This record gives sequence, C-alpha cells and structure tokens, in this order.
Amino acid sequence: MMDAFLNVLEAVCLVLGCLMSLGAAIGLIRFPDILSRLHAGTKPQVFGLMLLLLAVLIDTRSWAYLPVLVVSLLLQLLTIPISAHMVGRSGYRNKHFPAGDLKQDDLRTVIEEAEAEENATDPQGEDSQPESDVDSMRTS
Amino acid sequence: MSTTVIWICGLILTVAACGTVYRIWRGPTLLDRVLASDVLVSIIVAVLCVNMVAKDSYELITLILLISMVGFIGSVTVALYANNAPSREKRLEPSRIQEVNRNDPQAAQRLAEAKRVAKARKRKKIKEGK
Repeated sequence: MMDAFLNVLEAVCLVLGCLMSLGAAIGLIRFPDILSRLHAGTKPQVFGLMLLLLAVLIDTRSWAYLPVLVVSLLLQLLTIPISAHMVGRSGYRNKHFPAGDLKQDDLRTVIEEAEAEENATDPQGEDSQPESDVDSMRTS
Repeated sequence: MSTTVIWICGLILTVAACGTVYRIWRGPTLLDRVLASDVLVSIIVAVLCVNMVAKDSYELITLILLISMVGFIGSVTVALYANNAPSREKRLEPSRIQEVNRNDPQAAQRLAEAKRVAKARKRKKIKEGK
C-alpha cells in the first residue's frame, strides 16, 4: 500500500519536473525579449530540479542520499539567481531590448546619477582631455 | 519505476531539448543563446535524474553537482564578458529585432521601419559590391 503510494508520488514528481523543462522551452521559443525569456527559463532550474531530486530521493527509499541531494539543490538555489541577474543586467546595459518595453525602470535613474557624478568630477582632472577625444571618436 | 512514466519523461525532455536548441540556433542576441544553453544544462540534469530513477543506480548525483557548477560559471562568465565585448551584437541592431512586443503600440511600426532600413542598406551594399 505504502509502496504503491510512493510509486505514484514519484511518478507525479518526475512528470511534473519534466513538464517544467517543456514549459521553459516553450517560453524560450514564444516570448519576445530577453527578460521574459529569462522569466520562463529559470523555472525548471529551481522548481523542476526540486521535483526531480525529490523523485530520486523517493526512488532510493532511504535517507542515505538526502545530504547530497540537499547540497546540490542548495547550490542550484544559490547560483541560479546570480546567473539570471547577470544575464538580465548585461541585457540592460547592452541595450538588448528597447527601453520603451519596460513599465518601470529603476536602474536608469541609478545609471544617470552615476554618470552625472562622473561628469561633475571629470573636468577637475587636467589630463582628461585625451580621454574625451577618444570618447568622441568612439561615438562618432 | 514503470517504463511508461520513464517513456513519457523521455519524450517530454526530448521535445524540450529541441525547443532549446532551436532558441540557441535562432536567438537574435548572444544573451538569448547563453540563457538557452543554461536551460539546456538543466534539461541534461533532468535527464540524469530520470536515468537514475530508471536504472536504480545513484552514482550520477555527483555528476549533477558538477554540471550545475559548470553551467553557473559558464553563464556568469559569458554575461560578464558580453558587457565589454565590442561584438556585432553589442548594440541592438534594428534588423535583429525579429519579434514584435504586443504591449508596445509602436513596436510594429518600429519593426517595419527597421526592416526597411536594413533592406536599403543591403541593397546599397550589393550596389557597391558591383
């Protein structure tokens, strides 16, 4: 009885975890820009992996593999947000999507403040002339 | 584990991997490809999990740890590197916007304009080549 229940639970976990991957793939294909694709793409990496590791744990029918599974899940939970953050930030800084698509843009104010500070402190330096020449050449 | 469940999981994961590879092949920018390959790594991890369940042998757990580490390092490195690389894809070239955002009423117009400009540039290039 218990065994049958665990089997069913394991099967449900496996299929749901795989469906997360399928959802991510569909999202990657269908969504229009990098931010929404990021939203779809990070689903299977956390929740899908959680379900699949749970299925593996149920399949072992023992607690022996629990520490390793928890470690790999924690590692994933720590690293996935970092890499997603890096990709999103890089996409913003390299203008991979039009700024008009954003409903709210908090990063822009921060960048503008930083640039204003840089411009305010720049003329004090005497040797900043050649750098600005290089900059104007780059923008032209 | 019953073989039916394993088969269903295998088919789902195959379709998912095909979609991801399509995005890697097509993806208009470098970051789309990075993101899609990250998802491909997680699909491979899922395949390893299903394989462990199917074979009742659990030695591949360490491989899952290793693969997730490598995927993390790879995607972070590429995202950092793309920040400074003067590649063709650094600035959003209008001709590379291939999908229209439906929330933005001017997106279709902008896309049409971008396509027109790209076509004119191509024609000019061909003319100069001859």
